[in-house]
Amino acid sequence: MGLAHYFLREVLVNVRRSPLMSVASVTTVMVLTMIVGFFLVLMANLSNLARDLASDLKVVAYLQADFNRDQLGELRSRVLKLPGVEGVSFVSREQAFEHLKKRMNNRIQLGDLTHNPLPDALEIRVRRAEDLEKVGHKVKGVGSIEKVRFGEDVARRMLALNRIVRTVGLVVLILLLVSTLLVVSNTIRLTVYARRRDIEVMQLVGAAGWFIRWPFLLEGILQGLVGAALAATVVSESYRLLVPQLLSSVSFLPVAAPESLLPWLCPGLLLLGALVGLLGSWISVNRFLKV
Amino acid sequence: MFSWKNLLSPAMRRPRAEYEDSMVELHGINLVYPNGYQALYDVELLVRKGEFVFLVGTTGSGKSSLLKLLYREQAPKNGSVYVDNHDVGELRRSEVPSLRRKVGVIFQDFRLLREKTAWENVAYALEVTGARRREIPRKVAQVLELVGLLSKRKRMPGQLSGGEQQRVAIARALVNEPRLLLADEPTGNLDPDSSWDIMQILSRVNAGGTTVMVATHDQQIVDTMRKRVIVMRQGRITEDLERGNYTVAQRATQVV
Ligand SMILES: Nc1ncnc2c1ncn2[C@@H]1O[C@H](COP(=O)(O)OP(=O)(O)OP(=O)(O)O)[C@@H](O)[C@H]1O
Ligand SMILES: [Mg+2]
Repeated sequence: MGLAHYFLREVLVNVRRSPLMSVASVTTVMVLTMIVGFFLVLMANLSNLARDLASDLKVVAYLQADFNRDQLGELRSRVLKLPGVEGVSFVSREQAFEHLKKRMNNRIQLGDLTHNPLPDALEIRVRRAEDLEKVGHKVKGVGSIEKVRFGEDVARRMLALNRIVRTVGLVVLILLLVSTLLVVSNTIRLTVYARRRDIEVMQLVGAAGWFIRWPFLLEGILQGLVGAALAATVVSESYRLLVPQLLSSVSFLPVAAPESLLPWLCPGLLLLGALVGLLGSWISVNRFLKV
Repeated sequence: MFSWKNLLSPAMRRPRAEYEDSMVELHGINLVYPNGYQALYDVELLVRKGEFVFLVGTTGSGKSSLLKLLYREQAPKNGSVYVDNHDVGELRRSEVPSLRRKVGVIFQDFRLLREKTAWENVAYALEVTGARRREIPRKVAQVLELVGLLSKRKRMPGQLSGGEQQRVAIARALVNEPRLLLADEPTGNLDPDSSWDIMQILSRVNAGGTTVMVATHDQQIVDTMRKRVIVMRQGRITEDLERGNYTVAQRATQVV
């Protein structure tokens, strides 16, 4: 449309005639979205770590010594029906013994053990770490089960930690977003302030509020996008460089893969930049518009 | 209380101006600024279509305040303001821009957009009206030609002399073909030669049918042009002379 074209041209002319103002806004947006970006990378990794630790948590049900393996199928299906259970696998006492021997091989002489002291067991995976305790108690009532172990205190502590990390992360993120908006709108206000006389003149010659406002809003969106694009580049490139380094020194570290993290992080940062630029200019222009 | 009038649309309910051929009508105007200072007292004024009027009076007498009512920079506390038979006092905020497109205004300090060229400044006044893109260059060129600045159209305001900037401002005020042209001390910052240039342009515009009101302290211009002179003093209109003369007018107010 002609009008959109006109507004865009206005923006480009403005940027060309006062480039320093744009540089200030773009830099501010860039620095702040970069901080948000690195923070999000950190949060994604923490939550990845928590999920990884939680996935190791399972309920182990030791079966009674006189358990008849013919009934395994029936027992398995009874356990599977419990709410929150994701899967069940049977670990025979022989497998468990082999596993134990392998793990202890170099430290203890197991050759002395003439018989296998271990019982048959079911390893029950739960859908969510929060369900661990509930499932653990339910499994006790299924029958043929001697003893249930599900590391209650470890699970509880980990869940608490997870909650704290998530809450603190959210609060910090909100604070970061609010201060981003404040700082950016302040910078943009300076650029709008420099043109406040022009805004008065525009009103004087009969420009409607939206006609004055739109070029400013577009300019804000554009500056926000450019700043955020720079920030996204810095964040994703440095993360791509960092991940192989981390993995080569601590190989089992459950880092969030760049390929799964960046495809939502980068568009998210761009959106944030555009939004902050838009809101920042909206707030600033309204201060000088008598509408 | 019920009244049939309430069933009519707001536009139809508005009282009409009293005179068919009036361009500006003020009735019982009192203007009080937000800080409580009263700048106009019981002002009555009729300016007919096509007139050329000077507004004179000592500094602080209310000339600028009176003009501000006409482009709705200020609204009166009471009384009614008509411009071209439209009740300006009753305008809603959203209706103000369309009034300003029909009334051209010029100021002592020019008030050009500093980051736009002469051409762009004039074009802006057209663009805000949503004018057809193809018509803009023709109209802008026409008014810049009229004020004699077509050759300097690519200059920024900072690269133009005061007189030239004022001519750009006039071109901008004229580009929408206003029915009313207001000038608040248009020559206040200019040397006598430039001042005469400006007044000549305003005369020509007036000859084309546009009503012109000029607030000024320039005694020589008022005395030479022999137009209608309205004298203000302490927020009131004290004299209204056909083919007036600044010195006579001032003396008259001092006697009162
Ligand atoms: N925005 C305002 N708020 C309060 N008082 C104001 C405002 N604008 C003007 N005044 C006061 O109103 C009075 C009339 O001012 P106005 O500008 O109309 O005078 P003027 O006749 O145009 O004077 P000059 O010849 O110096 O331009 C002055 O006393 C002035 O101080
Ligand atoms: Mg004045």
